[in-house]
Formats: sequence, structure tokens, C-alpha cells
Amino acid sequence: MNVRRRGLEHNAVVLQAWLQAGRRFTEQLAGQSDTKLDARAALALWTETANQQLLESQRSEAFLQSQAAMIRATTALRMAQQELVEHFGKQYGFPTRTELDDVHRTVTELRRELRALRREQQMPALVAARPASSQPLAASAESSASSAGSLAAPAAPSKPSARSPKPQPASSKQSSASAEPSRAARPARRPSANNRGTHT
Amino acid sequence: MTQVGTSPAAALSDAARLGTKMLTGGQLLHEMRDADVQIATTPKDLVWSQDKVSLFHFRPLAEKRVNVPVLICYGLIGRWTMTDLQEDRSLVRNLLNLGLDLYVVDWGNPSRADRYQTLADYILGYLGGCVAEIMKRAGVPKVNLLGVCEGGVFTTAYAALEPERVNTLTLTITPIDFHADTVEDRLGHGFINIWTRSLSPEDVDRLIDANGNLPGEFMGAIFNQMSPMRSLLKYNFDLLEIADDEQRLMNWLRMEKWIADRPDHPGEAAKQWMKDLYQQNKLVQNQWELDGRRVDLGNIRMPVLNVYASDDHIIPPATSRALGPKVGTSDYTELALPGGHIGVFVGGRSQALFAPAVASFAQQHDLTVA
Repeated sequence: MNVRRRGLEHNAVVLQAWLQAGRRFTEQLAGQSDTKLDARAALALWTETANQQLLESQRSEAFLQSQAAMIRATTALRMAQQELVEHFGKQYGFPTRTELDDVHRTVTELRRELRALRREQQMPALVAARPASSQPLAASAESSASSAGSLAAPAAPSKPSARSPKPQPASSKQSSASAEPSRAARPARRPSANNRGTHT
Repeated sequence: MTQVGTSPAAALSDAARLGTKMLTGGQLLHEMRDADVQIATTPKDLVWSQDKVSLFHFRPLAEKRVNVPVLICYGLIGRWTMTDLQEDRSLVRNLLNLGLDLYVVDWGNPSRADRYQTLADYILGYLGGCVAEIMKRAGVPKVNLLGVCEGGVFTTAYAALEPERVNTLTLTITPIDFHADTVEDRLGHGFINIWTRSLSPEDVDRLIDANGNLPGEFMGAIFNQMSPMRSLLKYNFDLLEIADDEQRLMNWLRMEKWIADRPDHPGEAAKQWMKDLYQQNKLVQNQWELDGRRVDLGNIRMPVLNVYASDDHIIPPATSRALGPKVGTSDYTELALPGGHIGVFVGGRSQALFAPAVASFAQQHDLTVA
């Protein structure tokens, strides 16, 4: 009963939005010059108008609250149904959802422990490496700040967000609206012989 | 008063055209089989798996130009196949053609048996396992991470917790400040943020407990709400519009195939996603904890490229751009791409910018392996 009531309440909110969309549509038709609108143009106008109205409605407290109430009601019903099935399941000796969940939780915890053990055993030693440039890693990262910014063309400075806790220095943290042009790809080569596996 | 209608002759002509479209489209759909609609076709090899998680290595399409491999990490909502939707709309192919050594992690199809998997399991466990495997295979001390949407949050958290294993961090359409949808407050943008905040933490718990996981269909319905009229007209008017054009129909079906492949989100991980991040916004406040370890964005000291879509209605730009002031590096770059959330991967204009930017970024920060 509760699910039905909540469903009807929510449908009433949605219906209001549709009615409002219809009103807006007829107002827009009335407001236009006395030209003839073909069916395609009329559909486009209706689609745009209804979409706008429905999006506005979705952000309203009435919509959000009635939808949340409907979700609460349906989940409550689902849980009550599961409880009932569990009750009868127990009587007839069937494995229950609770028991299965218990097994799944145990398996998940065991997998977690196994992963941690594997990680400890298999983590490869860090391979010796040096940056592509002759500079040490840290220095390379710092110096590359300007080169990374070269992605920007044109280099439009980033607009700091009104909610940003601190302003971004334009010289260091950069924003771009486009990227450098694609380089021509080199000729494709055949996959190496040892690169065989599951081809999906 | 505007009259809606058309002349009898024009109506007859429209009806004849519509009939022809329906006949041709019907014939095309009748002859097509599921196997004809292929996505994610770029050749790749399974190189590592654990539980339901698989790590794939793409076969090269060009000479390697970057030593440090790139790992693509999509989220648990949807699947990575969006990045390789079709041959001429494929970030994966574009990156391979630019000489990147590319891997992707596939989270599989979580079932009710996975309801107790947490985000820590996915980030520190599976993603960590993938990183370790790539380091071993490529003989490198760190990898380049490319996170997409929820996967961007995974890579962000991983980079903050294990910074010594991450060479560069590239984020794409990634939410960092989950309350920053209010910055622009554009109609139709950030509905998931608003919707999640309309629920109480107890509502989230009960929703997940009743279903075990966050069902893929449920999230699909929420996404449909974000463009209500488009969702209503998609399978009638929109389909009819392209029904007699085989190429456009095939493109449409490939997209539909990706949309239909919406795995369930593991329950405990979904609770964390919705409560810790969407409701309590812990990530941007450096208060989020995984396995008892605090995710401090200031620990992200490697170079960062943050790519967002300027018309993204699912992840509004301000929610992504909030990362800039929080990271612990001055080597931070933002790249705004034209289009929306999915347009980043399939739109012609963004494709021309996106892959070259990622490849160039990886190249600039490459390591020479001894």
C-alpha cells in the first residue's frame, strides 16, 4: 500500500510537470507570429519545451522528496519480502540470503587477505631508472611544468573557480582549451611473436 | 495564432518517405545480428587476472615512443569499452597510433557475491595489482595512470596513497569536489549530485542492502532522467531518423550496446561512493579514508593532466577543476575539451585534441629505463 501511495504521490508531481510543459507549449505557439508551423518544427518546439520543464521539475524539492519517499517505500517492501522468504526458507531447510551473505562476506575477507599476502610476496623490486632528460627525477618534474603548459594553444589562463580554496598561479598551473596537433603516426608494425595471448 | 499542420500533398509525401524509411530500416535491423555490432575491437591480450578483474595489454599499432606504459582505469559504473567504441572513434587506437604502450583494466561483472567489496579493494587491491604487474612486465619503476570518471577517482586516490608508483596522472571527466555542481548550477547539469544529496545516508544503506549491489539498471534509469525527452524519443523518433542509413544505424547500435552493458556496482563500494563522496564530499577535503589511510591530495606530487568536458552534464567542469589547488605539484595542466561526458571519447573535435594531448604529456615526462 505504501509503495502504491508513494508511487501515486510521485506520479502526481511528474504529472504537474507535464501539464506545465503543455501550458508553456501552447503559450509559445500563441506567442509566435501567425505563420504555419510544420509538424517537425512543432515537435522540436514541444521537445525543447517539455525537456526544459521536466529538468526544472526534477530539481524541485517536491520531486526530489517524492522520489526519495518512493525509493524508501520500494526498498522497505523488498526487504520485507526477503524477510518473508527467509522465514519460509528456514522452515524448509533452504539456504537463506543471510547465510549466503555471510559466506560472501567471508570469501571477500579471505580474498582480501590473500591479495595482501600476494602483494607482499610479489611486489617487484623497483627497477633502476633515470628520467629521459639528464636531470634527476625531481628536477625533471619541476622543469617540465612549463613544457606541460605547451599543450595549451592558445595558452588561455585558467579561470580560478569561485569555490577554489586558493587561487592558481597562472605561471605554474595551467589550463588549455586545445592541444598541440597530432604527430603523424609511424608505420604500424606487426605484434611481436612473444606477444601472444587471449585475443579478445 | 500559429497553425500546426501541413498541406495534404506534403503530408502524403512525408508519409511515403516515412514508409520507405521504415521498410529499409526494418530490413536492415532484421538482417543484423548481435555479432555484427562489435565494440572494443582493438587487439589486446589478457596478461593478468584476479577474481573478476582482468588486465589487458593492447597490441602495438605503431613504434613505441614512450617507455612508461599507460594504464586506462574506468570506473565501476559503465565499462571501459567506451574508450574503444569503434575504429574511427577510439581513444585507445589513437593512443596506440601515437606510440603509447597501453593497458586497460576491466572490472568484470560484479554479482551479489561481490557486495562486500569496498573501494579500497578495487583501488589498493586490484588497481594496485595491475600497477605491480605492469611494472614487472615493462621493467619500469612507475606507470602512467589514465583515469576516467569514477576510475579517475580511483587513480587519484591511488596516486595520493602510492605516489612513488605513479609517473604521471591523467584524469578525464573526473569528479573531485562532489558539491561543486552548485558553482555553475546549470539546468540539467549535475543531477546525480542533487539526487544523491536528496537521500539520507540511511536511504543509501537501505537501497544497497535491499538489492545487494547498486543495480546497473537503476543507475541507467537515473542517467535517463538527466535528459528526459531525449530518453523518451530515442527509440522511436531518433531511431526512425537514422533507420535507413546503415552506417549511422550501426554507430547508434554500438553506442546502445555500450549503454546496455551496465554492470552492477558492488554494494559496499557503492555505499562509499554515494555517502563518502557524493554526500559528504570527503575527497576534496582530504578526509576520505581507504583501509584506514587518509587520501591526501597534497601527496599527488607527480605531473597531472586534468581533462574535462566543457559541456559535461554528468560531471560538471567545476567538480573536476577543483583538483588544481589541491595537488602537491606545480606541474598541473587542465585541458578543456568541447562536448559532453561521452562526446569526449566519440566526438570528432575532442578526438583530434584528446589523444595527442595525452601522448604528448606522457612523452614529456617519460623515463629512460636502464
